[in-house]
Parts: sequence; C-alpha cells; structure tokens
Amino acid sequence: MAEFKTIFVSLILAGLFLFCMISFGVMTGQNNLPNQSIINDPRINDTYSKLYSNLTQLQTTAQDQRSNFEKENPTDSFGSLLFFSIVSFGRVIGSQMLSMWNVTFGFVFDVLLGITFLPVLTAVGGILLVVLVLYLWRLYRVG
Amino acid sequence: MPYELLTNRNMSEGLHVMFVYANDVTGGLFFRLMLFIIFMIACMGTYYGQKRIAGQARFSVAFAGAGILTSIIGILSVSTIPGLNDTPAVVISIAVASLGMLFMLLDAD
Repeated sequence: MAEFKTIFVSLILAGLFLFCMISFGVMTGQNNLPNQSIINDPRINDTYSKLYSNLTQLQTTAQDQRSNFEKENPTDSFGSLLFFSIVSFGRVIGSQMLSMWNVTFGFVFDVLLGITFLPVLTAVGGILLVVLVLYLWRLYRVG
Repeated sequence: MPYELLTNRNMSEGLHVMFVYANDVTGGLFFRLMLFIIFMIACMGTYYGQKRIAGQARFSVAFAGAGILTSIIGILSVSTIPGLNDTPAVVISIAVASLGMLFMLLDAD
C-alpha cells in the first residue's frame, strides 16, 4: 500500500497535471480561436481558479511547516526523538490533500457523471478521509 | 429532410473542410467518435505493447497515456479549426486524462 507521502505527492501532481492541461488549452485557444476557448466553460473556469489558489499557497504552507519544524527542539522519548510539530504538519498537509482531492476529483466526477457526481464524490472522499486519518496516526507514531 | 451535400462547401479552403462537413452532417458525432477511437487504439496499443515488450503491463499507465493524447488532439482541434470540435468534448477528454493520471499515480507503490 502507498505511503502518506506517496498519496500526497500523487494528489499534488494530479492537480498540477490538470492545471497544465487547462493552461495549455486556454493558451492555445486564446492564440487561435478566442471565442472557442475552453475557459468559457464554467467548470473549467472554476477548476482553474481553485487549482491556481491551491497550488500557489502550497509553497507558503510547506515553508511555514518547515519553519515550525526547524524551530522546535527535539525531546528525548522512548527509543526515538519526539517532535510535536509533526502533528501540526500532518493536520495542515492533510487539509491540503483533501482540498486538492475535492478540486481534481470534483471536476472529474462532475464532468463524467453529471448530476449524480455528489454521492460518488462524497463516498470516495469518505474512504480517503479514513485512509488519511490512519496515515496521520502512523505518521505521528513512526514519523 | 435531405442533408447538405459536400459540393455546397468550398473545398479549396483546405482538407479540413471535409472533416468539418462530416462533423456537421452527423450532428457533431463524427469527431467525438474519432476522439474515442483514438483513445481506444492508443490505450489498447500501449497496454499490449507493454505486455509484449516487458511481459507485464499496467493498465493505468496505458489509460493515462491515451487520455493525454486524446486531450491534446481535442484541444488542438477545438483551438485551430472552427466547427470541427466543441468545448464539451474537450472538457470530457481532459477529465478522462485527469482520471487516468490519478489512477496511474495512486496505483504506483
């Protein structure tokens, strides 16, 4: 089974890929046939703006968590060193993952399933939440 | 009601007029089916190509690769030739490519 970091990187890369595809479509459309550009589609427009804000704030969030981690002095624990900042790290990165999940899968299910997308998105999102909690617990225990 | 004949179109504009004509008389089905066929050929070709060369294959990789190829063709067709493709078909192809990409990335151990 994939690790916490693999799922995190996968979701971010999937979001980045979707962002790049939309950007490519928008730029090609604007350069050739602006009235037929895919940005006129409301789903594309909405997904593009959400992905833009998510991806641009990721670096700031990661930098904040890195600073918190570096400021903290490790505490001796049984058999290992203890960092409490890893809890905050898990919470923030977990919410980033969920946010990226909602944008990318929301777009995919909305386009492919139409009006029935919401139950599917929430059901599969529920599975991700359970997996995420288990992964965060594992992250707190073993780092 | 009889459908429009190809002779009514100005073929001297280029070869793309023939495709636009075929798309118009089929109510937009022609190019959507074309994209679907490109997707299926790329997906099956990649999958069985992997199997033949490496002995094993990952369907998620073939699906993602075919989705990306279809999206690029769809984007280029909607952005360069008026009337050949429409935006909903491109949005669907981008969604399929994203789904394939997610499967491929989450499938990797």
